[in-house]
Amino acid sequence: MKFTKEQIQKAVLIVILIAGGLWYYAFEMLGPLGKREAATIKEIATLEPKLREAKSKIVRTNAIEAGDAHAAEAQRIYAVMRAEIPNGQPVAWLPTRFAEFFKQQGIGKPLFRCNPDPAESDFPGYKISSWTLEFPSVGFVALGMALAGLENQEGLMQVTNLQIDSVLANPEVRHAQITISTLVKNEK
Amino acid sequence: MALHLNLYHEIHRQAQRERRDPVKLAGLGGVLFLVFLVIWFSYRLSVVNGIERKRNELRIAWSRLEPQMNKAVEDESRLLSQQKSNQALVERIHERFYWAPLLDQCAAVTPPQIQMLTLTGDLETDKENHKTINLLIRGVAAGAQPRTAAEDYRHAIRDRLEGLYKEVSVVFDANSLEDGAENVTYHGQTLGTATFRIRVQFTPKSAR
Repeated sequence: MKFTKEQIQKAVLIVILIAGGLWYYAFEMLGPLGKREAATIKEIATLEPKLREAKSKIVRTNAIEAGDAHAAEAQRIYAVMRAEIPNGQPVAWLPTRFAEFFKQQGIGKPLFRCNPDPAESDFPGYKISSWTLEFPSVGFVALGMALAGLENQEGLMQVTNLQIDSVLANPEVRHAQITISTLVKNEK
Repeated sequence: MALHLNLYHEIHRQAQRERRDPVKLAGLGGVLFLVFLVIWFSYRLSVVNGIERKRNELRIAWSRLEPQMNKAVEDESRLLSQQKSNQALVERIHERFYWAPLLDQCAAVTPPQIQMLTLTGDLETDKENHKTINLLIRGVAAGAQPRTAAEDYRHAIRDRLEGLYKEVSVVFDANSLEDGAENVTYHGQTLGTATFRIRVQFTPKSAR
């Protein structure tokens, strides 16, 4: 079988066209598609763990919020604190308030001494104020009764130290000193 | 035997030659190959589009979740600190130690032969909010056997407090129980005295 020159030229042209077409198909159509696919898969591989982590963080935060067993009671206590703790520096109201209480208990007005404030409390907007109350002359039983009344009335107060000494001249009376810590509003 | 003459043999040969024309066969093969390439490309395109659709869904989900997650992360530390603060506040109220009942118990167990000279009490709270009460009672015991009276007093305090508190320890301070220099008269009897220091330590029972 003999090919004419024209046929050979045509055949060569066809082969060149086919090769060009295949090159275009492989490198200009399938190639970019493969790159798109690889980039997308890579992005999915980064997005999926991020989404999992985000969901778990949201669930964890919700669980913390829902799991706060003391939230309701703390809110109630904060409401009481807002209502019952006067505004202003404690030195302006605390001695008056406590002196009035002890006067009602019939054991006289103690001497008040404000102690240096300890570190900030854990309660936002409030700090702990420490005071020493000194009773120069008080009966043991009367002091106990007054202390019981004070502990019941002042729910935010805690006695941290007490000292009761006998007075040699009169065994019936005592010299007492009570250190209390109580929550006060933290005002700048 | 019949004789067959094919008068169209040239036409048949021509048709056969045309059927086996390599150019035509190559053209047919080329078209089939082209169809295969088109189908393969369409398949790959649909696969990639599917993946991209999934990616787009994830992007939308991420754009929705990212602000929520950032808020959750910000809130988490705030909520934890609030939770801690709430717990501390509630415990401060409920786990308060009441001194008045302790004074009542001390007064109740103190017999007439014992005079309490000083009573010092301290409330210690550690970092985990565990409370410990330390008491120091300094006093004078009177009796025929004043040291025994002081020891009985120590036992009485321990027995009374053990029922009310935990980890109760009631001990004399080292070398603190000593014979007193003075005698006292009680119910017409002259009695010897002994001075003592009793150290009391206990943990309040939790209210919760």
